[in-house]
Amino acid sequence: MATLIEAQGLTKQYGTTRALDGATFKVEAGRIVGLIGPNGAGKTTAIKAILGLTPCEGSLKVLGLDPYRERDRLAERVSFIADVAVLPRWLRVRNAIAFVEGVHPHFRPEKCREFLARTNIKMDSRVRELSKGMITQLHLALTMAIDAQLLVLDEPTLGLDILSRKQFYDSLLSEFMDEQRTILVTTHQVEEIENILTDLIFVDKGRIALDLPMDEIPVHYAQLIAAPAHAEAARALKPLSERQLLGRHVFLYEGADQGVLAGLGEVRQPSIADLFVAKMAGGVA
Amino acid sequence: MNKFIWSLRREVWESRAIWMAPAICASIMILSTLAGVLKTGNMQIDADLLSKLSTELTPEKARGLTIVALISMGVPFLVTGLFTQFFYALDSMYAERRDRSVLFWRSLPVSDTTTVLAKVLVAAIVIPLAAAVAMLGTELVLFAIGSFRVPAALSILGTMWSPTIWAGWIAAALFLVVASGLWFLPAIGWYLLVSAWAPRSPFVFAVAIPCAMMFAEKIIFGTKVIGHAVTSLYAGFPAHVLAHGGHAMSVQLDEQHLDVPASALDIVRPLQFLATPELWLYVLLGAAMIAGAIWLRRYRETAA
Repeated sequence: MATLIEAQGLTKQYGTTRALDGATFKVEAGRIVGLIGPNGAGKTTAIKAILGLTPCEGSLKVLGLDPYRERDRLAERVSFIADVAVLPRWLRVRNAIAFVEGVHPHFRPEKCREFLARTNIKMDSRVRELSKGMITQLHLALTMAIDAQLLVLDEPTLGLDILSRKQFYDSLLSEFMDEQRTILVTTHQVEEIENILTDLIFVDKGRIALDLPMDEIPVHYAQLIAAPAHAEAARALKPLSERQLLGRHVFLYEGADQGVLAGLGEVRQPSIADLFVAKMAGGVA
Repeated sequence: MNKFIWSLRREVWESRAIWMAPAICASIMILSTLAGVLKTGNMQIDADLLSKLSTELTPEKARGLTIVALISMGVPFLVTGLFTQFFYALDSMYAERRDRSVLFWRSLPVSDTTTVLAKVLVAAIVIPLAAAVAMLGTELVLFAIGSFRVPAALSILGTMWSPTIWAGWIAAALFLVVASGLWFLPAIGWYLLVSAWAPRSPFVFAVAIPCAMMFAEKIIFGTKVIGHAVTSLYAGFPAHVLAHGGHAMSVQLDEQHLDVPASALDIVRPLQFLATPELWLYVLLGAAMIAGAIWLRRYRETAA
């Protein structure tokens, strides 16, 4: 399988703060990778570095190119949606399609029009006349009609209501994703992308805190819901985190023997959100 | 090249002022002339003046008068063009940063050089060209209105519709478009540079920085070099591009000796203009600032 993104020791300093601090990770072709982290963890800096919008120390190859130096070439093969607010408000839908068709060698306008025909977006509308959800649909339609190898989404559903968010990811999966394509997405709404991700990367303070394929999460991590009577025993197994829920204790373990845990209560696969809280809080919360 | 054409189109979609401003200028001139005609009715020329005019207004003077009329009607369009250029260029790179649409544009495979050069071409050539087209259209309409008001006996009527005069004037106008694009390149470069850099209100920065520099220069060195440079940029254009620095443009009816251009093309001096050292200094200066604007758009950290 081809490696699309290869980052080694990625470091970026803004004044005295380190936005990225030796981050090392890989993204393989055909995956949907979630880049998750708290505010200021370095997600956006990492995305900007991948898109060639900011220089970085360390080594970074995207599709075999140096993104900062070869941004113009990279832009033909990588698509990017920053968030819903970046389509210029004066732009007409018709002109947006014409422009992208004019400048992008891999854009298929009929695919874009087909997608838009299923929405309420009119060709003559200006972006400023569209709702936030419709702007996102338009941006997605423009982006999906590009035969790009890599699609980068930075908080693509920010400020959207839950229906539009769901619609966004549904369209993304059904219209865009196939074996040839790779998606890298950052978001705060982890729950929503949990089911579509194939890989998970946690970023914290500029470092990679976790980097796993989704199907390996249950191998390494387990959540135990224990009755109060077993709380002491469970605590002795050194959980990553502990919290109380309706009188019961919820523990999260890394690399624990699941057979032992089963004797103490109900064992489940932790959700990304639980895992995120446990990893980021750095121990017992 | 295709990407460049599309980038030009994008600019025209975005900035309607490019054609709106000259269109408004044309409407004002035409409407105010019409209003004047309706108010005063037909022009009454008393017999004395008419006979004086018919004898004194030789074909040569009439030609000169026509040409001078064409040129002076162009002045409001030159001013409109310079203002449009100022607002367009100053906003062109700031607006896309303010609404963050720069992230959308830069996600497409169009290089920053292509985008910025498209903006330069719009400011330097497209805006003056739109102003020139509006000017020629306005002059046609105003001459048509004027034709009804000039007594048929006067020879000027013939020169007003002389194809040679019009052809010469159109050629001169096209030359002036290109000439002004080159001459004002430092202004355009400065606007774009400020537009690419200013954290807010590029209009204030674009004016305040030169003013502050002039002030500082006056305080520290007691000189006015920067002020003179700015003045000579604007005053220098008519002085260098027009024959005799534009002084041949006043036609006195009573004057015996007239230094009137025989053709509208004679009012411009392309070769003399191209040989002006300042012009190439300005082009160089403008190019350097444009390069700076490209560099800023390419390498400046965009808030993502």
